Amino acid sequence: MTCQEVVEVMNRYLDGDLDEHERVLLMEHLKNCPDDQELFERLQRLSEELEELPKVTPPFSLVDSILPQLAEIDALRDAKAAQAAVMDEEWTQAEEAAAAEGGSLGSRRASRKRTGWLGRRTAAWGGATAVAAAAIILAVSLNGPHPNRQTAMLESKAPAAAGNASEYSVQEAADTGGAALKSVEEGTGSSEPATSPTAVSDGSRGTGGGSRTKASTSPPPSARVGGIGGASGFDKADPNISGSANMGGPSMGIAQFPSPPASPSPGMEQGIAGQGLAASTASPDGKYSYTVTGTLLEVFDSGDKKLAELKMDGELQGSPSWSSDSTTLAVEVKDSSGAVKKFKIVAAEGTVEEQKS
Amino acid sequence: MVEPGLIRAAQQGDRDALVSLLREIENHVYRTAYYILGNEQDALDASQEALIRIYTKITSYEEKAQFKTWVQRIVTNICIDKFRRTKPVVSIEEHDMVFREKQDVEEEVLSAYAAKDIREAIDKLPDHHRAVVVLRYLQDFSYNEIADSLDLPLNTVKSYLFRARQQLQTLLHDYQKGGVRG
Repeated sequence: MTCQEVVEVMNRYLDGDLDEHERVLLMEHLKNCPDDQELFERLQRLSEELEELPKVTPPFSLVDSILPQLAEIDALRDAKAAQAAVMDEEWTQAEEAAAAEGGSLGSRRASRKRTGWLGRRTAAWGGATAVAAAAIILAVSLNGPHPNRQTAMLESKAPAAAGNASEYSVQEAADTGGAALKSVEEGTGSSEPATSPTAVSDGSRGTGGGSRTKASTSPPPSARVGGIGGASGFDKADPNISGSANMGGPSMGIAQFPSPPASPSPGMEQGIAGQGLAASTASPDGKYSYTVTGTLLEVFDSGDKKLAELKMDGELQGSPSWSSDSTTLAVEVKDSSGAVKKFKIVAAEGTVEEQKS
Repeated sequence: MVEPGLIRAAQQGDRDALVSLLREIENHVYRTAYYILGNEQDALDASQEALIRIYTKITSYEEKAQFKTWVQRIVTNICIDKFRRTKPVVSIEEHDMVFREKQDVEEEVLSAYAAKDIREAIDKLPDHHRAVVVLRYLQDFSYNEIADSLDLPLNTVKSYLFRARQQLQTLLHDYQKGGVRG
């Protein structure tokens, strides 16, 4: 045995990794080599010391100490699920109503249904969408009646031109207050079509009231429905009102929007973000999602069909991020040497490409 | 060893099962965090974060991996990625405080190396070497279990462990010769 081999065998001895034959060889070698014998004894003593390190225990129950946070996580989960259910129901109602009317509006919405956008994709109707929905509600609650109404009017002015305005607005809802407001019209505006302009102002007032009395919480459902009804009412009932309202300064209305906090429930979201939990893994349009299991990153479509996978030979660096058009997932992996590799996964094609830097 | 039945119940949404499961592993989680991070406060923060992550990620655990290595992977990742990076320096005073109760003066005299010295020597190891030592000696993990937990090849685990021993020995030898540590 060479000296290097002996050191390795000694170490494996300490870990109980030698078979009988190797053990005999080691002992024979040590008998004839005082230097290695001494090293062996030192290593053995070190190993014994390490085994005797105090088995420390926490000074208090860690689980008890995090129970409130766990309860918050549960509450947030439940809230998201409930919100998703409400939104989904609103969609269904809207589509049924629209289909019954059979007008141009109806066909526009029906076409959404055929294209299977967001609301119909239950798999994708999870984290990202629920957050977007929450942002919408927050934006409504933060804004007084006027900007709200003006935006609704502004938006309603060109529904036909905005071919896929719904996708656009909800996608942006998570980011900006202005966009969130737009999505009030497009996103929730589809439920409970109102029949008269009167309903509009009622709805707006209801929403505004909500913002004053319930500063940081969601407005009551009635306020939401009111605002929603208002938007829809304008949408089809009276384009002229939109025109006049625009003269009142829609841009001013938008400029007045406060930037909403990043989350619908700041305390709760911060609590979670602070704990480093993974954010939603769904793409902005909800068509794709990814999961990370150990070193395996997998990309799925909304039907849970696997499209691509990446076996990472290191640790995930930050969170993978979707491109804004939802086609591509960018992933950074740090290997054990500290080198960062960048990958691009094109979901629809199932391709994984390493980006050379 | 955590009951597989308890894990399954927790994965199926039984909240009480999940909380009991966390209670069963909290000491193991804390011990690893404590020895990787080298001080009680960071160890408490990191362990709490690890337990919360386990709580939220329990459904992503797959039975093909051992539960204990899955748990240790989570806690070592948190320790190395987050806490260690932001707090590289650990003061000697903290060690003294932490070990005050544990120290047995007579035993320390008889012992060739004080536990305190060993703790400090461990703290000087590079992150992954230290993690390997902690899993080997504080969790009684095999080479394979360490490899699974740290997502390292088996040979890398061995070479880290062997090199860590060599380095610890050198450090402790210096301490002994120098009497008081610098």
